[in-house]
Amino acid sequence: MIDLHNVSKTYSNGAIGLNSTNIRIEKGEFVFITGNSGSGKSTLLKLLLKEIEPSHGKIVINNKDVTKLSRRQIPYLRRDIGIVFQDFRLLPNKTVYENVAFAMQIVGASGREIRKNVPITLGLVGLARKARCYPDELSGGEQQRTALARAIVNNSPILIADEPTGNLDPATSWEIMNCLQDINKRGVTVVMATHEREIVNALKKRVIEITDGSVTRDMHEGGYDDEMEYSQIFV
Amino acid sequence: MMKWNTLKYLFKEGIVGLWKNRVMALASAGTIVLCLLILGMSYSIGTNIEYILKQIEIKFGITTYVKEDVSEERILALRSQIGSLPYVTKVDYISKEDALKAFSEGSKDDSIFNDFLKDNPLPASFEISVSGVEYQSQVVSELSKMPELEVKYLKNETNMFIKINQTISYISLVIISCLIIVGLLLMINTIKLTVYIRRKEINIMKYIGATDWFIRLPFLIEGLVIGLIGALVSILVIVLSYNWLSGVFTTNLMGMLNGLTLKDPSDIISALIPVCMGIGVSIGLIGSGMAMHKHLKV
Repeated sequence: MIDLHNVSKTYSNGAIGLNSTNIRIEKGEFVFITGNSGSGKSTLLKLLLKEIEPSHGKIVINNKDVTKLSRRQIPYLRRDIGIVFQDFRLLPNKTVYENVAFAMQIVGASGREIRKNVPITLGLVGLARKARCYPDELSGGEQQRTALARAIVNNSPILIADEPTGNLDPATSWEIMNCLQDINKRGVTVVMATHEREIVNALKKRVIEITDGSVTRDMHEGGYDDEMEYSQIFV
Repeated sequence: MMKWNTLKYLFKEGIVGLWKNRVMALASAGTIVLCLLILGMSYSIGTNIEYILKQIEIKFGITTYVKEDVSEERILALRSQIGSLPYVTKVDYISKEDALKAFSEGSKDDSIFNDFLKDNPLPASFEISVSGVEYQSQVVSELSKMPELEVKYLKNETNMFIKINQTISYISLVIISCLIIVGLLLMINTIKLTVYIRRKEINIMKYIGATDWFIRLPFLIEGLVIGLIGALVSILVIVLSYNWLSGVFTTNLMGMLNGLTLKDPSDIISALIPVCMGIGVSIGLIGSGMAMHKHLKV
């Protein structure tokens, strides 16, 4: 589903984002990407979204060689990847319903499909009653759930979450994590960058740790701080 | 190709965006209105000066003096001969007596006048109007072929008027082109500001897989509508104020204008409507297109 072959990224100022990285994520997996700030987590996510180009290596997503896509094809790549950010990034002048419907408008869905799918998706994330609210009328957790609904409404096979709980209190964070797990159970591959030790430790999912641009740990059912010697490395 | 659904949605988005950013939209439309108003004003002034000059040109005409001892019959023949020359629109015969009468009206007390009454030295003449000042020399050369006539024509003066006329057209052309450029720059700036205010929105759109055209179209529609509103408002203002001003001119300044008239409002308006529409719409579209350019690179 997601395949990085020997991917390196060196920024124009000489800083190394990623260093000869090999990662393979299968369909339906739930993967935590952990690491300190500046370790290369963001570089990895940006590469997956083709926001930046790798200096070396090949990235394949959904059998498409991302590195070979032209600028015009980028929107279509991004439609296969739902994305959630730490700061939610909802359109402030649109209601919850419109924010979610908007993602369907982009892919050219018909009015009928939109009217059918948006309420179902809002139901999935528990926001059916908030459809008419504007983002500033919602709590942080509700805003993030709106963003989640937007990310999955087009049935994208991949969901990338960039510290989705970073701005939320622990209880709300768990709500979001439960949502993410539900989404994963429906077959969506979830890649989540995070700093939250407790969440990673509790969920026992695959953990890929990045340090200074290199994968230093990759283990199934891992915790946040497991020692290398206990790890199984999947490359 | 974009689906009809999507187009409909984007059109709606454009209109909604316009309403949500109505203050900025009003500012942009106001800029266009101002630009087109100045353009309309300079066009109206320019064409009217040209129009009045044309009338003066025609009034200038050509005066030919009839030599002494030409018979009445010959004068009549000359008159129809001159009238049939190309570009001649009007021929008036002023007899020696008419000339004296016209002369005497201005100088009743003069003692010379009494001498004139006994022996009239003023020649009879033809006042010839030509359809355009540019044809004068041609008509004059035809007239010089007639031995009974002595042609007087204001070569220097007519040339001067041709020059003034040309200079005015050049100057207004330069002013109008400058205004179009200024209008375009202002439009780019205002839409850029709208785009800047909404840059986060554009960024989000790019992340969820919107194509460039999907993002661009509502802004273009916004620009188009702003341009249209600007054009319509300016046309309305020009129509109303021109009608009013030409009314004021013709009723109050009739005497001063000495029979000269201003161009008919419908002439000015029918020329300005397509120009204002065209400029307004293209400023809106080009401006928003150029303003968008930078923010699409995410």
